[in-house]
Amino acid sequence: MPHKILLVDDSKTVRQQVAVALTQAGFSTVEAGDGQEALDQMAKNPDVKMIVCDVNMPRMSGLEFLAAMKQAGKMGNPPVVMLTTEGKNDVIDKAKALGVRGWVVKPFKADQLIAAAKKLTGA
Amino acid sequence: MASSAHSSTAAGGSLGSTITPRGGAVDTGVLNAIQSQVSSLQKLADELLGKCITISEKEVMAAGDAVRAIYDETREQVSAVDHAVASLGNEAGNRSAASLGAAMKRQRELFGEFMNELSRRLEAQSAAANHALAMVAKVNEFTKKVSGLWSEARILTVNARIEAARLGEQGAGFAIIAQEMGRFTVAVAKANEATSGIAQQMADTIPAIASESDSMVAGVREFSAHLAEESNRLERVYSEAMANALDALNAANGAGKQTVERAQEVLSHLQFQDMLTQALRQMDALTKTVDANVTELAAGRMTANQVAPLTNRSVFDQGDVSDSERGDVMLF
Repeated sequence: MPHKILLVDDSKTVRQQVAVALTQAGFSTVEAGDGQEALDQMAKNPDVKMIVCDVNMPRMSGLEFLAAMKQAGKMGNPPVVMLTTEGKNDVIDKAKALGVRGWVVKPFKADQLIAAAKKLTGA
Repeated sequence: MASSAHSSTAAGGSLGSTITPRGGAVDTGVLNAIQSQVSSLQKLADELLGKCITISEKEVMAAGDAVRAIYDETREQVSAVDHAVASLGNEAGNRSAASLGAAMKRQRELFGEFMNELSRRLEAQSAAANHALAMVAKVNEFTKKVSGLWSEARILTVNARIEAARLGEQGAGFAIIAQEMGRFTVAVAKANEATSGIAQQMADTIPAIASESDSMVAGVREFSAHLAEESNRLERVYSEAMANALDALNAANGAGKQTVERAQEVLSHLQFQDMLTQALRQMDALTKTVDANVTELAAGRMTANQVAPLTNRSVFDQGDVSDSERGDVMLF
């Protein structure tokens, strides 16, 4: 049974590209277009082993999603890696304080993302 | 309208200051005109941005789907080739190849043994035929001797009859001997004739058998040599074919993997779409800010000094992350 990863990004193309990279490496994926959809997907997929999340998204941003997860006591399990165009240290520090396990500034490198996913999921 | 907006630019600098005359009095007519312009601009920009996002998203998705199809197909091929290479290259494959080679060798050995045995038997047959031929010669010699004895017996018979006739009644014993000798010589002659006939038939047949045996032995030897040569050639061809197949599979495997890497590279290039979308959204937000500012100024709820300068940090500005660090995963 492949490990399931939740991809949260308002860009379909980014979700598609990340999905291709991760499924090629043996993972399965589910997708969400913003933080709110991500919360819904988490409720539907309790077997998610890792979350890859954008920061800037409409309706509910990545940081708001992290805050909601933390409030629900779910931060850290599954681990969250942020995949974003954002690279400012203050934003990264905020996310770290909320419990994210990794940060990637787009465009991502497939091999590195796969290696991180394997490490964080134990695959 | 453009000239009106231009004429209202008195102080320069921020957008707010461009719509506030130095005297402090607000020309609402000008502001309304600018607001109308900005609203129109925003409407057009909304439509344009919407189209840009929709079209670029649609086209890039289509391109992504196409590349993904190639990628998936190639990955399947790589997987199939990987499997083939593994089955040829792994221990089981080697054992299978070794078993096949051993089986071929054993079969060749068994066939060689059979041919050698056949050759030995044919040689024995040839030797037996030659021996029989020698025996026929002896029979012939014996028959000649019998024939000689028969001639002598006939002479004795004739002499016995002459002697019997010369002695009259006193020679009756010779007459009986002559009669018996006569029957004996006839019998010997018949036997001799039969033996000679058989010996002659054997003498006629056996050389043909011996010759045929020799010919077969030579044929078997030639065939055996040819078989050994073919078997060796087959083994060489098999080994070369195995090596060529492995080379071809490895080459195909390498090419397939290269294609997969290329597809990944193409997909990674498509990530510009995300930045483009965000840039367009930022432009959309800026336009809305301008519209809001103009609305507030026109309503007199905001002065030119209260208008915050517009910030437009490029989405391509990666903040505190250098270009070389983009794409790297930082794990905490």
